[in-house]
Amino acid sequence: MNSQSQLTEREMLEKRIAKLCKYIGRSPWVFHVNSGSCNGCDIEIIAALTPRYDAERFGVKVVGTPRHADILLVTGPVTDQSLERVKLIYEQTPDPKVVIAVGACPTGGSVFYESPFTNAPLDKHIPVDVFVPGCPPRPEAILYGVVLGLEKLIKKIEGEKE
Amino acid sequence: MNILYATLGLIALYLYVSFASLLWEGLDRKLVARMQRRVGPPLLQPFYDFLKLMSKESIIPRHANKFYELAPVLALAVSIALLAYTPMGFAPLFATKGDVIVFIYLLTLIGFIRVLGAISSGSPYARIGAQREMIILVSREVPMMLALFTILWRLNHLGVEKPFSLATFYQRNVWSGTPLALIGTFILLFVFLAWLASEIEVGFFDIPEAETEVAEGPMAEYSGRHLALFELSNALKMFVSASLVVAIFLPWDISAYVGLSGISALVVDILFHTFKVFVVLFISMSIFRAITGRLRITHAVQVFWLRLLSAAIIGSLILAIDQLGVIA
Repeated sequence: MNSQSQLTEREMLEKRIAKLCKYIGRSPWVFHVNSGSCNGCDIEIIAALTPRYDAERFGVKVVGTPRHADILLVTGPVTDQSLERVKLIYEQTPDPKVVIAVGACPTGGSVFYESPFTNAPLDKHIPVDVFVPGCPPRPEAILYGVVLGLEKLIKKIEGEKE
Repeated sequence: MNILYATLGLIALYLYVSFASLLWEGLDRKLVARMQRRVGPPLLQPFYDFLKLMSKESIIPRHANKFYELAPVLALAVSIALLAYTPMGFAPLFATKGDVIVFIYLLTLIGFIRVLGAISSGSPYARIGAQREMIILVSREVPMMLALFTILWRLNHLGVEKPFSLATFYQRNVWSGTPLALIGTFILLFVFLAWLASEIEVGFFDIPEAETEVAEGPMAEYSGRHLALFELSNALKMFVSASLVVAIFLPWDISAYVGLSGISALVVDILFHTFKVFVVLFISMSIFRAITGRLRITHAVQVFWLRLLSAAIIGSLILAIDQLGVIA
């Protein structure tokens, strides 16, 4: 029974992704921004790309420069050192773009809550589309976050056309 | 009227080759994914990527100069011009005496324009990538040129209409001759496969565009439309370089066996040629990319100047000995 409902959920998700693929030929290229993360979320992002989860089947590709990116995955509690860099990377990314905050740190500060050296909620500094909480979040959660972000992006683009 | 036909032929060739090369990129990603027990992206993924890049914003850095915007257009223009000199299962459109030199010149020019565009972008990452690309460009041409000119010299001795042209490969088969010549040709085939892998920058030779080290190298500052044009010209360059290897070493056509002539023969030849290009690219790109990692730039230069150049010299000597009859 449980596996049955899981299957339908997965099918629903795949159908939604296929719908996205139809739009402007979806090929979300992802740039990973580390703003002082402990490396936990970064490992989970890499896990989402491994053969088990294989994000590449949806066209996801990790790129090395923000100029090529459509999606920014921000991890870490946004330390004082990295704050200017995160803002700079956001400005360097061409429109249309989606920002996804991965993990508990950029969402609310996690264990660094009220620390004087971190600038915890990321959306104080740059507009964030999706928060993926968890310490660290599971790869499925990150992929789900990417899907939500893309849906939001599609809505934004369609709004622009009207 | 002749000019009109040539222009129409070039446009048709351009449309066909851009479709075939982008299709191959999708096929390559799928095949590598299957080798790694993954599902892989859809077959048309490169088309989606291209369309997406065309629809995205194109940022021009403050420190970039005029050539930054010009470089992608020039690169694509050179790759289209290159198609007129590419053997496609039949002699090139503008086949003439000595067109091999134009072919190599144009092929190198694409890399050179990439380097110029990268330097114009003003990014330090792009400059490092450009330096690496320049170093590897200088290293890879020497063994390839030696191998290519030895083969052409040998074919010239066997007697052809237009010496040192790409059409000669369809008149004379390189595999004909004594067993000694076969060995020499086989060594040169190996040199050519390594050259092809470095020309399209995969596996060992993915050095200029090392995305984890130098942020995509020469492409670091390009985005949107400009990047899309570069991607397309890269895909064309990949198909064209593989076409050279196919024309030299696998020049067989099937239209003569099937008994076709005219336009239908050309279509069958180009389809069969595309199939052979895919086979060569599968060996030199997909398998090579799936089983090897990136070399350091110093190691790559050593591979070219010590290993491949000596292999090319040995292969050329064997062919020369066979041709001039030193032993026999």
